[in-house]
Amino acid sequence: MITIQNLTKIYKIGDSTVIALDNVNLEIKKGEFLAITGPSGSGKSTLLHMMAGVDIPTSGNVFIEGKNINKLQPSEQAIFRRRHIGMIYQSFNLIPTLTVEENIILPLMLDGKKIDRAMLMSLLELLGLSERRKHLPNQLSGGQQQRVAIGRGLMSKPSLILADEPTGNLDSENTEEVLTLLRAANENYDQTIIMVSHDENVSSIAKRRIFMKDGHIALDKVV
Amino acid sequence: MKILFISTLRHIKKHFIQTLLTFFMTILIIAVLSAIFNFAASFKDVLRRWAIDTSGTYHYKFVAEDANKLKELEEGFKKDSWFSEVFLDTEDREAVLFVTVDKPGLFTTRIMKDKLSEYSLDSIYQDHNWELLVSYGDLCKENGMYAFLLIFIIIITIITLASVLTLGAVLKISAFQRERDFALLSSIGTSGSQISRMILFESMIYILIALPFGLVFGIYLLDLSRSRLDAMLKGLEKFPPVEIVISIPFMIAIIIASGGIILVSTYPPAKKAAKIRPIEALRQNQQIHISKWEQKQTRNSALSNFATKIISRFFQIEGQLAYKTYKRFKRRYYPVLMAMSVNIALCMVLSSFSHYTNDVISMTYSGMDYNINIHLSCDDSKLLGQTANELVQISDNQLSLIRQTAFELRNPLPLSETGYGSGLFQGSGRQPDAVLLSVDENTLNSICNREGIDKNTLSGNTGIFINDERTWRNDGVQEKGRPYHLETGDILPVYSTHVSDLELSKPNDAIDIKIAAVIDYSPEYTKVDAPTSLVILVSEDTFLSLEPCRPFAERDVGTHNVILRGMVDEADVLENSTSTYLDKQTQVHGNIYNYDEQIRGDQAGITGIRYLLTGLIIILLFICMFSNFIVTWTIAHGRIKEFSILSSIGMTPESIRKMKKVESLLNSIKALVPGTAVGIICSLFIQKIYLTEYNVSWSFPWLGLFIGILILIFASVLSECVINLLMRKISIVEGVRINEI
Repeated sequence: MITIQNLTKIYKIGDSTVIALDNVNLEIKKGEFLAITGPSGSGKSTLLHMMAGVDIPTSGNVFIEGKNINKLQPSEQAIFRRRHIGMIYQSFNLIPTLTVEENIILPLMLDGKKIDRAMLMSLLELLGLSERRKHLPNQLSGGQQQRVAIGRGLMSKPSLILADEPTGNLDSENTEEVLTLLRAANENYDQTIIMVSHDENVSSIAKRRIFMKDGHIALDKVV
Repeated sequence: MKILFISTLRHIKKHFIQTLLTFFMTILIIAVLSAIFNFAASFKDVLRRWAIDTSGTYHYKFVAEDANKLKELEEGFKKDSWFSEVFLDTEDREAVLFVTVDKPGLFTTRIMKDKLSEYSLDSIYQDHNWELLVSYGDLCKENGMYAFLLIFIIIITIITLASVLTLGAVLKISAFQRERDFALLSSIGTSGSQISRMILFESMIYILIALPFGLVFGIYLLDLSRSRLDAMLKGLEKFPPVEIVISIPFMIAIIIASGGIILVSTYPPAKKAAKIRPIEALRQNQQIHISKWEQKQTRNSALSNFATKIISRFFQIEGQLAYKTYKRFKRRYYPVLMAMSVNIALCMVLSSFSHYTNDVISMTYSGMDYNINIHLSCDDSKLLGQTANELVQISDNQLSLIRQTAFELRNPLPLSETGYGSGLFQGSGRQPDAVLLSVDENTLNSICNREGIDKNTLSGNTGIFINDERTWRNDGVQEKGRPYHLETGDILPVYSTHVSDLELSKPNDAIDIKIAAVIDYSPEYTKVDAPTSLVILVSEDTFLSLEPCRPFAERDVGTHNVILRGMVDEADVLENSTSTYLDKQTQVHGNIYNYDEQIRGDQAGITGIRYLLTGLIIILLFICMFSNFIVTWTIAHGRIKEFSILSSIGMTPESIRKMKKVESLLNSIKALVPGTAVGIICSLFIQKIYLTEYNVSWSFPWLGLFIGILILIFASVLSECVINLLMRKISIVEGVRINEI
């Protein structure tokens, strides 16, 4: 499903150069649950952002379902993202003026698709947000907000979900809930999930783990 | 406290572009105030010079036939140190007492009235050099100072309002940027008042640095506008050229006004910053902050749902998102949008003013069938006639003889009971002074009974001559009426005139009035306080009283008058040639009125006013634009994260641009609607003022509205450019990561 070829990302900060990714190659199959771990600055999030098409590599290619996403125009990238990729961020990144319901269905609205109300209600039920569906993000706890972000990632049934430290700002109880949801999405809907986390306990739920160090893949293990 | 001020200075330095724009904006505000205040000082000087040129340096003048009546005043005034000069002139037929006030000021006229109440002023005519007193700031209503002061206050109020709004918006944004800093300071023990003073310190820096530049720039703007000011003032009156006067009291007033603006602008953000709770601001760094008020705005009322439906229909999801953002950011844009509304209203006011003034000029001159009017007078009627014929030839017969030895009076025959009448008297070479009046039957009966006149002898064109030797006024100067001698049986040819002083009928429309009786004047025979010395009762509903015609009549006994008039091809050329011809004449005196030049002068005056108002609007516009740019720039920074999130979940750049356009449209409508409403109200108000003198019709100020809409489009494009510029500089991932450090 995803093929990464010779992916490199170099940042220039003043006079110094930072190699965030150094010639990374990777293959990910459909339906895989992959965790990317590693110390701070190892290039985990950078790799994820490259896969999402929200950052531009210095060199190399990223193919998702046969499409080289880095060669797409920005509009095409955006359309590809909303149809095939669900993004979940550490700091939730919800739209503050939209309610829970509206945040979740936003990618579908952007695509002009009709909303399956039944699916929405069952998803809200699954996320434990049925009674909060008219609330704004500011009226929710951190855990609830992250569940909204997950809901947004799931609603359009994307083939790929990219989660960047999804439990980084959550307590243990909420962490467990979020991980359960991700596992369910992977097992029940065969969605490919790639999750970045520095927490070993969190990344342990994944069936395949990649350990990154200094911009390289140091270890690639199937559990 | 010093460290807090250092922190403020660093904040100002950090946001360089914003600081620079704020300085420019503040300089412009002070420059406008400086230009207007210094114009007020210069105009006072113009008034002073004009007053002295036209009527001398005295402040008050008292005229009486009997010099003894003025001696009492003279003695009293000489003892009063309030008067610096008291001079009695008895050389002419009438005695004149000239009085100069030592230190004229705001209440001179009122003080003088009080002082005069101690004296008897019977048979004493008094006048004051009101233009000179106005130039000293006298606030007496009669002298017209009020109108000037009112206009001055209105303009200063508009500028102050726009300044407070725009500067306030910028300071509010600056405070918003530092909310987290204030929260941290508050958490470590900084008091609310100390935090407020930080914002005040920031605003004081802007004013103190911008003040000298603004003052000088304002004087420069005034100097640039001098030719337009001259044209404007000449269009109103024959004022002397404007000289720039810089007055220390007015400069102090500018500094005080600037300080006031700063204090008023600073108060709301300073008050808010003082109340900041540390914990709310510290939580901001995890997500996009939305205040409780903004939260309330995003809830959907019935009206809001309806609006959402309409917007979604036309603009789809982008419109929905834009509408939600518009509701959320309404408060932050509010001051700038209000200032834009003021600009739109001003554009419409300017458009209406131009329209009405052009109408008035057209009305004043459209009915005229002549553009040159020449009044000649001479003791020798034959020489006068010869001169008139020669002038007609000089004009290639474009001039015609309108009347001879006649006076221009007021209303035509027949007349109402209390109205003035008019007639032209062609007598036997003497000067009649009379006004045509009318009288009701009871008064006629009373006159006849009292004087023993057989009323049956009055019919058609016969009249009773009433010998009236009262004093009268010509151009504000009291003069004694000229006695005129008519006897029973004399014939007076009388010409009727039209209402306007500018048109006369042909000489052969005269009617001959035969004098049926001669009686002495009595006040009840004239129902108006007319300056007459000759009243002729013509019939039971008309009697003829002739008044000296202004400004044509010469006052010397025996002078004849001729009026030549016509629509000539080149009025300026004829004026010059006529003037050259008349300069060579010693016995014939002539006044030439070139109405083409008058129209040009009026139009130049109006153009001058238009130019100045346009300049004022442009400067206010720049102030609004700067403020708009700063507010947009700062809000845009906060929205980059939001745009990046939308982009990351699949909103295309085109969709984001569309969303921004809809936001701009909604903000523009918010500025347009109140601005247009206020503009219409002001336009109607201006029409009402004009209606006191002229019958102008209201017309919607389309041009002003069109210009206002262009201003809004420009502001929207500017906002969009700012956001596009920022978005180009930051990638999606950088935008998403804002505030994650």
